[in-house]
Amino acid sequence: MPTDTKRVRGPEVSQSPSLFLWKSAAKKSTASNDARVDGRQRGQVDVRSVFVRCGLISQAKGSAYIEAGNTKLICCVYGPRETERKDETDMKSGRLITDMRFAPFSCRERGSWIQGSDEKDLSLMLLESLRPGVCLHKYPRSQIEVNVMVLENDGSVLAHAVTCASMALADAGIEMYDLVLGCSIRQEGATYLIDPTFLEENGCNLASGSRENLGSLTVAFLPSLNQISGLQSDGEMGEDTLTGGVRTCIEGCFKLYPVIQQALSKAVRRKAPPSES
Amino acid sequence: MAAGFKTAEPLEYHRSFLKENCRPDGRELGEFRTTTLNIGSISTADGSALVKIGNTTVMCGIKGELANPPVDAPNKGYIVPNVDLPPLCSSRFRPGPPGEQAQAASQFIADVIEGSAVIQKEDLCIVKGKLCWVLYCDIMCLDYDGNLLDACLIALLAALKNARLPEVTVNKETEVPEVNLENRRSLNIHKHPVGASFIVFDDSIMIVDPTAEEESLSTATITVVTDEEERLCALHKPGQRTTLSSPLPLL
Repeated sequence: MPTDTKRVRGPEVSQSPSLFLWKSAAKKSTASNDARVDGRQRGQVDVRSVFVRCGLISQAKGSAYIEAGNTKLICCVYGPRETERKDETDMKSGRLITDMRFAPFSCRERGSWIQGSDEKDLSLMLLESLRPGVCLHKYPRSQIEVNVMVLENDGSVLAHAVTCASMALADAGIEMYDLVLGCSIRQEGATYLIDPTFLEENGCNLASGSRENLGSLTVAFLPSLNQISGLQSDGEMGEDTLTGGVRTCIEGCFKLYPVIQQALSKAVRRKAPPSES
Repeated sequence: MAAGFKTAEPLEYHRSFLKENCRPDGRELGEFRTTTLNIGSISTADGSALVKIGNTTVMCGIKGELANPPVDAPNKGYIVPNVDLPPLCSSRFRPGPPGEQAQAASQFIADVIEGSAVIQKEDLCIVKGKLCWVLYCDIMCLDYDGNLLDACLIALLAALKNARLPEVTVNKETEVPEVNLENRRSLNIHKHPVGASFIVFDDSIMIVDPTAEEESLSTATITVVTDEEERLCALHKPGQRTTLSSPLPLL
């Protein structure tokens, strides 16, 4: 890694203590086939309960914070403002710019400050999922910036980032066709785990029979319009499993929808000027 | 009407309040904003803290890693603080490498840690000359409304107090370190430095705990860091106008 002259320097090489775990603590097999570690069920649409709040950052036009289990994300929206690069100004519609970052302390291994290819990939996926939901033709010659910061990564980061970003856009007063909600599942053989935690996403329960149908899937969905704006899939899954998985994710999104709507209406009421009486 | 005056003539707007010895948000000249602290919320970090001074929100996460001690000090570990001002905290920061303000803040925090001896680096050494802890203190600003340095110091101190590092022993036969994540020890904090930032307005009035607007209108900024025995640990005055000697005794 090139030396970063702009930051305070530490040793050239350092290793995470998790590489040197005691052998006795290392191997821990996952629990029986029915229960997941946090008490949710396999094969059922059991999303983690979510805490959402809008309008936390005073400097941003709109902001939202989401907490699902241990996954914590914050998103800020700035704009519409003048495009920075004049040659990219679009006369007919606005531009949406997304930036997704992980805090160095958000994952088990410390991440670096310099943006890696993972972050750029996720930012692009976030952009593709959000763009169909925003009425960009109403903001010609301007750009809207969406910045997401992951404070703690405990699984299904992209799905929650999509939800958080669309709440922040709504909080900023940007016109949208519909909210974009995200949901992800991890398929393991015959059963699926909805809204997986970090260990579930990266772990591999080989005890569940054959190695086929092992993968994960993230769907970004517009509930009122019943349209899918983003789909990201990893691993190998059969055609039926994949379509079943998409349907499950859509169900998960519908479960989240009332919570998000309530949080947004609370935020709007808080912002509204007191009524004359 | 007041909002229009504030945008058109911000200096006059603030002066009109200062004449009555108060500030636009209702505080006295020497009054700090309400500070709230939330400790230990990030489970993936070894220690964490979130500080809110008024609207300024700063989060500090500490992660410990293992490395070889420096050649010139084989019985010392490393503490690496870094302050980041991401574009999400304010529209004045653009994405990319850290700007001047972030670099200056990082260096200031590093100087305070050295100067006030918050942690003895000898405590971070596991095996002399072979293995030591590196504490990466990553301070991230989530909302920038002035007074960044004070918030960073409080967040750093709270996170250090909250940090629990796992126990490391070196296997005598294989010379490979073994980490036991279940057994954790807290760090030994010797001193508790606290900072106070001031700005000088119009070369004559001293205001404590500035907001972002007040900072942009100031003629000079000063940050003073003292520890619990009222000894001075650090004084930071980054350029700008020379101040008269009379405001200094107020500190």
